[in-house]
Amino acid sequence: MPESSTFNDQYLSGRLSPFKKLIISLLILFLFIFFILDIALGSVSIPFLDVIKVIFSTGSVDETWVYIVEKIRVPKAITAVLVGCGLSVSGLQMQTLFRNPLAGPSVLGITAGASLGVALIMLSAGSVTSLYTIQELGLNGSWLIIVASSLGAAMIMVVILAISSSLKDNVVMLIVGVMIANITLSIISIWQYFSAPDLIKEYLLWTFGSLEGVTEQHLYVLILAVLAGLIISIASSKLLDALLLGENYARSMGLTVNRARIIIICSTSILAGSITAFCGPIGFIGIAVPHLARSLFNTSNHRILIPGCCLIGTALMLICDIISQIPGTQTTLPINVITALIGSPVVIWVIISRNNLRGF
Amino acid sequence: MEDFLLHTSDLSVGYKSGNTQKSVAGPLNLTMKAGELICLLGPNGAGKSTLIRTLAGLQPALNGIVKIDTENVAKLKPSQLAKKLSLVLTDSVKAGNLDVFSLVSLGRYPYSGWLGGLSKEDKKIVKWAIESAHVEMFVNRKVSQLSDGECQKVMLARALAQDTPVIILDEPTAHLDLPSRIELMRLLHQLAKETSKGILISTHELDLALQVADQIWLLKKDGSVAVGSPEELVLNGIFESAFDKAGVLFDKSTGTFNIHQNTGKSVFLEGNGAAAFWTKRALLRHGYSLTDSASALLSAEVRDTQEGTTWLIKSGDTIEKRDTMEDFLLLLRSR
Repeated sequence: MPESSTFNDQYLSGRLSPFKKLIISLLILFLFIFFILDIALGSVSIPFLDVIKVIFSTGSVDETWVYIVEKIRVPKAITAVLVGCGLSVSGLQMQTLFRNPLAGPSVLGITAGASLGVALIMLSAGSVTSLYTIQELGLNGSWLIIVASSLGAAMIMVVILAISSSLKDNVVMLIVGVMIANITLSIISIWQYFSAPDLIKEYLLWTFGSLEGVTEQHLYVLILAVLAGLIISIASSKLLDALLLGENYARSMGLTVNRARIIIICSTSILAGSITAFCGPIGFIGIAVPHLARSLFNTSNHRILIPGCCLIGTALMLICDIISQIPGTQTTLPINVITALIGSPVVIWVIISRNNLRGF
Repeated sequence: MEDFLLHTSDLSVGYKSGNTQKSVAGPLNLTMKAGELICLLGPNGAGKSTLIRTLAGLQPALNGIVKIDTENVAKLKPSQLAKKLSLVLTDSVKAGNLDVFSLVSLGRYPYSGWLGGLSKEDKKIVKWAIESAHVEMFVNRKVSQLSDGECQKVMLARALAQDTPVIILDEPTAHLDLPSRIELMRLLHQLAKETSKGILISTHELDLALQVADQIWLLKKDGSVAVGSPEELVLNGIFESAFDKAGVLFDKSTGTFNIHQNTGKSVFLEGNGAAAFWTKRALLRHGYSLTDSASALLSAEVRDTQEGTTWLIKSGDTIEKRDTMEDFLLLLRSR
C-alpha cells in the first residue's frame, strides 16, 4: 500500500510540506516588495532611493518628501496591512461559524452594522459620520468609535446567527443577510436625509473606503484593536476547527458551543468594526481571501489558515492600494472600487466551481 | 450495576416548548455492557433520534437520568462527556476541503492542547483509529472526494480517535449501498468485540440488525421499549407486533419481511440448497404461501443434480418434470 506509507511519514510528523514552506517564503518576500512599492509610489513622485533612505533614516532627503513618506505613506501602508489581515480573518471566521462559503463582513451586513454604530455615536454628538469628523476627534473619541462600530457589528452578527439557526439553506441565509444590510443602510439613509447636504458628500466619500484617513494617533488605536482581534482569533483556532463539522459534532467533541460563538463573534466584530470605523466599508477582501488561502494552502486547519489569510489579505490590500494610486498620475481611485474589481471574480469563481461552494 | 457502561433509569425523552412537554418515549430502563453492539430499532416516528440525542447529551431528558460509567450525563461538562461518549450523526459534513487525516485528528479534540496540537500519544491513537476503521487507503483525500460509505467510515474513525468507552451512531447505514451497509455493520460488530467498547446504533436495517446485534432495543409506537436478544424478540412475537402494518408480514422462519400479497394457495416444497431457496422466493413473489404439510394440494420438489436443476410437480401418482423455473411456475399456475 503506497498510500499508507505516505500517511505514516508525512502526516504523523505534523510538519508543513516543503511546497507549503516555499509558498509561505514567497508570500513573505512579495509582501516586503509590495510594502516598499506601496510607500515608493504615489501621486507625488519621489525617487525610489530617497524613499529607501527615509525608511531606514539614512542620508539627507528633502523635508517635504520626509513628511510625505513618514506621515502619509507609511501610515497608509501599515493601514493596508491591518485592513488586509483584519478583514480576511474576520471573513474566515464568519465562513466557518455560519458554515457558509459566501459569508463575509460586507456580504452579511456586518460592515453595515458597524456603520450604524458609528452613525449613532455621531448622531448623538450632532455631527455626521465622516472621515473628517473622525479625524477631528481625539484619542478617546477614536476608542469610542471603535467600541460603537464593533458593537454595531456584533449586534448584526447576533441577529444573523439567530436567524441562521433556523435556516439550513446557504442561499436563503445570504438573502436574509443582504436584507438585514439593507435595513441597516436604510436607517442610516433616513438619518442622512435630515443632514446638511455638504455633510452627505463627506459621508459618501467615507463609503468609498479609504486608507488615508488613519493618521498617526488613530493608527496606534487601530493597531491595538486589530492585534487584539487577531490574538483572540488565533487563540480560538481550535474552536473554529471543531465547528467545521457542525455544531452537534462540535458539542460531542467537548466544545461549549455558546461560549465558542461569543468568542468568535467578539473577535470578528472587533476586527470588522474597528477597520470599518476608520477606513469605511471595504468590500470583497473578507469573502475572497479565505477562499484563496484554502486553495493555496490546501487545508481547512485554522492554525494554518489564519496566518495564511493574513499573508494573502495583506498582499492583496497592498496591491489594491498601489493600483488605486494609478502610479505616475495625480489621480487616486477609491480603494473600494479596486477591491471590488479584484474580489468579485473570486466570488464568481467560488459560486461557479461547485466543489468550492460545498467545501469551505 | 458497576459493570454497566451506559444505564438509564426511568428516562423519558421528548420535547419541551414553553411550559408544555411532549413526551415521545419513556419511561425507559436500559443498560449497555462493555463489548456489546446494540441496535436501536423502531418504526419511523417512534423517537429513535430523540432517544439518541438525549443519551448523547445533545438535548435534555424530560425525566429520569442517563449514566455513563456511573456518572450522570446531565451533570458532566461537555469536555468531560466528550471523553465518555463519541457520536456519529446524520449531519452532513460541509467542510469539503478538510482532509481525512485532519478530520480523524479532530477526534482528539478533548485531549489536545489549547491550539489543538497533537502529542505523540495522540498521533498513535489517530493512526490506530484510521487503521481500525480501514480508512488508511484514502487518508490523503478531501471529504468532498469521499463516497457516502467512505465518509461514514471516516466519521467512525474520528469517533474511535475520541477514545471513549461508548460510541453512538445515528442511522449510520442510511444512504449506503448494500455491500457498504454489510461492511459497516460487520466492522462495528468486530470493533465492539475487540475493543470492549459499547456501541449503540439506530438503524432501519432489520435483517442486518438481527444478524449482528448482541441486544436489540425495540422502540414501539406507544413509547415503550422491548429489550432482548434478536432471537428472543423474534420468537416471542414482539418483533412482529412492533412493525405491524397492513400488508406487511414478518416471516419468523426466515427473519425477513414479506412484501407480497398472499393469494391463498399453498405449496409443499421439497429440496435443499440454493435452488430450493430461490424457488421459495419465486413462489412467494407469485403469491403462493409455503406449508410444512405434505398433504397440501400442490406439492413440488427441486432437484439439484450434476446435469442441472430440475423441478418436479407431483399430484397424486403423476409427476411432471420441468427444466427451467419459468416453465415450472407456468405449470404450477395452470393447476
